[in-house]
Amino acid sequence: MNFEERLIEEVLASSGIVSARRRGEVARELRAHLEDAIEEARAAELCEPDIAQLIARRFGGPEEIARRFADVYRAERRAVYFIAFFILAAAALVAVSAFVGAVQITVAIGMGHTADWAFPPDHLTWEIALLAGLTLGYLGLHFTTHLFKQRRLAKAFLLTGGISTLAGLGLEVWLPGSGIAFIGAFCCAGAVRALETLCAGGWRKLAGLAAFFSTLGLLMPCVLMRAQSSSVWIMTTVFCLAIAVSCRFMTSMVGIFDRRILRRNFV
Amino acid sequence: MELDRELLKGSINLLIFRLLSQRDMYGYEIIQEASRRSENAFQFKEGTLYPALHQLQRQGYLRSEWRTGANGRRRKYYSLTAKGRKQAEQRRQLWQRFTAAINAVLTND
Repeated sequence: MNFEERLIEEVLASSGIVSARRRGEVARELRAHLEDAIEEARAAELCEPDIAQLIARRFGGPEEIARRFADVYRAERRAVYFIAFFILAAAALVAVSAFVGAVQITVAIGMGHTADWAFPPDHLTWEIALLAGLTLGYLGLHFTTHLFKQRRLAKAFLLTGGISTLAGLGLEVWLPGSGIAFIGAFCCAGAVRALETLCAGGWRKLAGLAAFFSTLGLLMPCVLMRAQSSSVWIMTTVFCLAIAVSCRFMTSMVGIFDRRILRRNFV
Repeated sequence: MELDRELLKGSINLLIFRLLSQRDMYGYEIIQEASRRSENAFQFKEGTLYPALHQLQRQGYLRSEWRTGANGRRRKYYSLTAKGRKQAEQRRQLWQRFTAAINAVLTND
């Protein structure tokens, strides 16, 4: 690769320009500029190494140019970021609900109960609100940390927490009981993100999450009140373990999304 | 004497407006013309011109199109929109008032 292409590549890599078409256009424009600059330098009968040095010096640092392009196209980048978040959140919510639901039904049938036993009507709304709070809270925390430069997790927690609280209060007015589950699940999502930053390594994270959610399952009021029923205790623990696995799944999904899709455009 | 870089940074848009108000130009031509007219006083980092041009285009002051020049090469030419011409005139007047005020302070006792 010649020095002009390397220079253009360095600018585009950090420019944060989302659209591939626009990146191509910027590359074309910069290439044209460098062609003219090289032609002028050759007309002045400079040797090739001197030309490269002169052009690079006159052109300026690629980081500075990339930073200015990033400033220009920030609004476009944020719009794509938010759209990506909502699509990922919807997909994650469906996937997590399907997985947790499938695990619950399997365990319920395994214990000799019916599928309806796993999903009593008064419990179902609460469970959906809980899964929604967990999924949206977790993904919201992950994505909003990218909006800040310092104290990222704390600021992300404040921003996402505020939004979740408002959403939870609205939900509580519409479906009493579900709003509290939604807010509580967001707090669990915050604990999951904090645990993930503390525990390194795939299996240690899963173990930490499983321990956290199992303990939570044991402490749940419905379990304490119905402690006579071992089926309820088993189901609640299984539910919490399924959530722990779902959190790891979401982490992997978000990681792939970040590395393969967003980072390609945003870094 | 080299001009202060911070002073140049703040003036780049004004230079772009002024040069494009006279004729359509592509990026390298803008830099060459600014350098020529200022007798090489303006020698800012050339790559930084393009984000400035893109920003002005997004704000609706400029439009661009690829054209084939006399040498057969395709270059992206920029021109002022009606909004851009209005902005160019406003900035020119603002700059004249600013420099007159500075000169007044520097020359008066």
